[in-house]
Amino acid sequence: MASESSSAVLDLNDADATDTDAPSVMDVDEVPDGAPLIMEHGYDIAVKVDAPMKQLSTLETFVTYRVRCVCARWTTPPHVRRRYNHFKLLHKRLAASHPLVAPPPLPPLHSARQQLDRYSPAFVAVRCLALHSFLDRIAKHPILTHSEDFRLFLTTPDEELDKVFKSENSALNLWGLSNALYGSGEAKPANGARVKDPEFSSAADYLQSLQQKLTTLCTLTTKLYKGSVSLSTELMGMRRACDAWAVSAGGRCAGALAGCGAGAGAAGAARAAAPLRHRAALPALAAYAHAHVDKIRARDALHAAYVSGNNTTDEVHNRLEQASEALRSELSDWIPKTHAEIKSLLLDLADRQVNIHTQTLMGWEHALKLSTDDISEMFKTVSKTAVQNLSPSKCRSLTTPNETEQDIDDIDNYSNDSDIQDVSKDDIQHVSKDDVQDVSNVDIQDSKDESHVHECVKVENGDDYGKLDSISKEDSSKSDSRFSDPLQEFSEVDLS
Amino acid sequence: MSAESSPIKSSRSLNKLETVEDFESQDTLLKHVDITIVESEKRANGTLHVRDHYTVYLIDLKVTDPDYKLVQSKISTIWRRYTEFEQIHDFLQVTYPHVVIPPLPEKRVLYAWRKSDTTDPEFIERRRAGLENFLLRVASHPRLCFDDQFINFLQQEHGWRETITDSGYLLQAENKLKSLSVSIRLKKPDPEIEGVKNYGRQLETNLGNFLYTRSKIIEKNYALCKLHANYGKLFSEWSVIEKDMGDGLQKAGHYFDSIADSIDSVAEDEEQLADQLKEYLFYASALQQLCANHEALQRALENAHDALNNRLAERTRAAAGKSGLMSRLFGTTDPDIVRDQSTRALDTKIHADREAIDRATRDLEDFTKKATVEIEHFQKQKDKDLHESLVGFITLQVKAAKKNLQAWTQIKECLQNMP
Repeated sequence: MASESSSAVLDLNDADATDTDAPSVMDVDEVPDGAPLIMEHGYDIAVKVDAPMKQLSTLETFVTYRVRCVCARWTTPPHVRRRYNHFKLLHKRLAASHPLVAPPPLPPLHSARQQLDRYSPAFVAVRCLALHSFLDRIAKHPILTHSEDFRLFLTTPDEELDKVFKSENSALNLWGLSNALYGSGEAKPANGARVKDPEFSSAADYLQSLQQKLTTLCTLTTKLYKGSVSLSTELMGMRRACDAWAVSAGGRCAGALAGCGAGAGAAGAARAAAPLRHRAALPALAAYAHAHVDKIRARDALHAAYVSGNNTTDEVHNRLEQASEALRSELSDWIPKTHAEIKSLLLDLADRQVNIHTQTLMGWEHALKLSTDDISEMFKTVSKTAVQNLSPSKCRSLTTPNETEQDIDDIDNYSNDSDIQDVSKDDIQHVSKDDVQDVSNVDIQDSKDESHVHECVKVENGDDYGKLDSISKEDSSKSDSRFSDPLQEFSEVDLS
Repeated sequence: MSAESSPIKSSRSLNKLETVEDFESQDTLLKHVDITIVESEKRANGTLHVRDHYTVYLIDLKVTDPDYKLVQSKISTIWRRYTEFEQIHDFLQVTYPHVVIPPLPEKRVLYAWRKSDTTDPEFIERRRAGLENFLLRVASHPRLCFDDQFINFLQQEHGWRETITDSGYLLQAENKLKSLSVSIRLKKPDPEIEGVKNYGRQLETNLGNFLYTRSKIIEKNYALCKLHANYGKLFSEWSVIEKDMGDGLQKAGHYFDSIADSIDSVAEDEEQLADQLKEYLFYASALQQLCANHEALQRALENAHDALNNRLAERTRAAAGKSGLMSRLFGTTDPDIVRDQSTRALDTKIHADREAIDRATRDLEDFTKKATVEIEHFQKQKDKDLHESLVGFITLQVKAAKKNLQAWTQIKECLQNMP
């Protein structure tokens, strides 16, 4: 499928998967290998989750995801397939084996409503992105990356996975383990003095606010994209209305309508797809912040227990120190990473919006050209005899000599070509992308040539309409062909 | 074609006008006076019921030509309400059936995309502009502008309502409506008029579609832009809790707010352009009205022909002695006296019928000549106006897109400068 090959080529760009382009859940035999994973600077490991696939077993149908890894520390098979439950198990084990560190959160389970739509491409794509970010965070985490469970997850071949991954840590064990580390202090939060450690309480406050901000950001961005898509539908509606009208419209109106239709079409096309990355990443970050807050609360409970003086042993004090230290190092690592991720997400949003508006602007500027340059059309139909007629089809030609003289005055008044030239130059300087620059150069070239054409026409019009006829015919056909070029060129340019 | 008409002509004597140029070079009221609608005011009928409140508009008439005698005073102002505008409009429709009568602005809110009704101050302002435009259109039409009732409308302070009702235009209008409600199917419809009528219908449909989609677009776009205000709020609140990212977030937040604010002026400007297009929506139906008037005259002519043919057939029968009661019942031939009497009676009637046909033919010819010029003038004006409106629309979109692009580019820059 096209979407699959594009994701294979641009390995790290699954994030650009849109609602319409989301790689749909495929059948077993179709998966290509994909581009090689590259480790980022400073890390000795790289992971990738992609290529969701529907798999049927005797009892159930489920989706598996391809997990790939390159690591300096151990050898890995080229890829393995994991399903959501495996990820869930990994998460549970990491939580158990590193009680002081919050593991990255998993994407949420299906809600009841989503059960009806378990295999919708959008849902699967969002989950795939979220699982990728989950593994990626673990891989880049200074402590968790060395976890044995993590290694097993990545390296065990599919067939042996169940043996290794299931039975060892039973539920009972897990519960006992975490309880032993934190004691029963959690049951009684503040017996007596409520301890407020300024360092951690301010961190907790920040994380809670951050969580809330991220959730709001996600909602807003989803609404923004949804609104853009629906606006796109309406713009296409206007395009159809303009095209239908242009069929029966006459003279300059037809040109203006063609322009209007083209502009609306371009604006609509720019907004048509809604990206998904934020729908995976932002809730994950919010949940992650929340997980940290929980850890801080746990630490605070310990602290309270210690201060309340019931178990005044070194053991509690040690555990408290451990927990505090773990949290400090975790947060000092997590916060910059998270800020970087937030920045990248916001830049994604900004980039997309800049693209949308750039393409919209170009569409409408082109529309302006189309609607004001069709004056050359009128010269084509100049004839020496005045034709007066009732019917609309003949009125379309607007062919009396008096009229054309009037209209030539109109051109002077318009002086549009020079205006458009200036306008487009200014705008395009504004937009800093290089590819856009190339297109704009072509546009400016065209408008320069057109103004030249009109100069010639203006000079000659007084003398002989016949001459005018041939010149304008030639020029209008030239300008027509040149008209098609900028549009072609700019549609080829990939502004993503 | 033939330019028999002299270029300078009092518009009162409407002679052979055959070229559009002559038509356009004629004298109009607007060449001598300035008409504006300066303001609007709310009035009430005495009771405090909301229903009895209505709005009046102040028409201001200034004579710019010092020698012009037709208008009574140099400056005159008069208050008129919408229903009075409707009256003068209907009167003109009835009195000048061969003219494409300029339309009034909408009576009810059409293509609304946010809750508004006719008491909205914004709507009242748009209506004020629309009514002014109506007056200017009428005043620049060489045949309409010197109409007595119209001049009275602009000047007569008291009793105008009585004057206009006295003219009996209401009765004529009713009669017309009745005759139009009977579907006119002509035996030989004029192809030119048919063409114009179809064109009018198409234009109406197309304009309607365009206005509808435009209203949907501005509705969605408006909501989308206002959403950005939420971003602004979020970012400014967020910047408070952040140390490094705080600056960037706050600056970006301001740009989001600017996006939310910018849509208001765009919406207003677009509404004005939509009003211009709506004028032509109504113009299209006025055009169709003209065609219907033509068809009515044609039908009158066809009826007259039919009457004559029937009469001729009757006369033939009478001459053959088959028209008396006895002959009709029993098939016998009429006695000679009856035959002669009836034949002679029918002959006079036939003569009257032929005269009626002549009259109807002359009426139709006259109408067609005048209407031809009107229609052509209308087409030219419409092309120019619609083109201007559409270019205005596109220009507005370019402006709006530029604003948005600028704001988002700035936002991107702020975000990039964050550590």
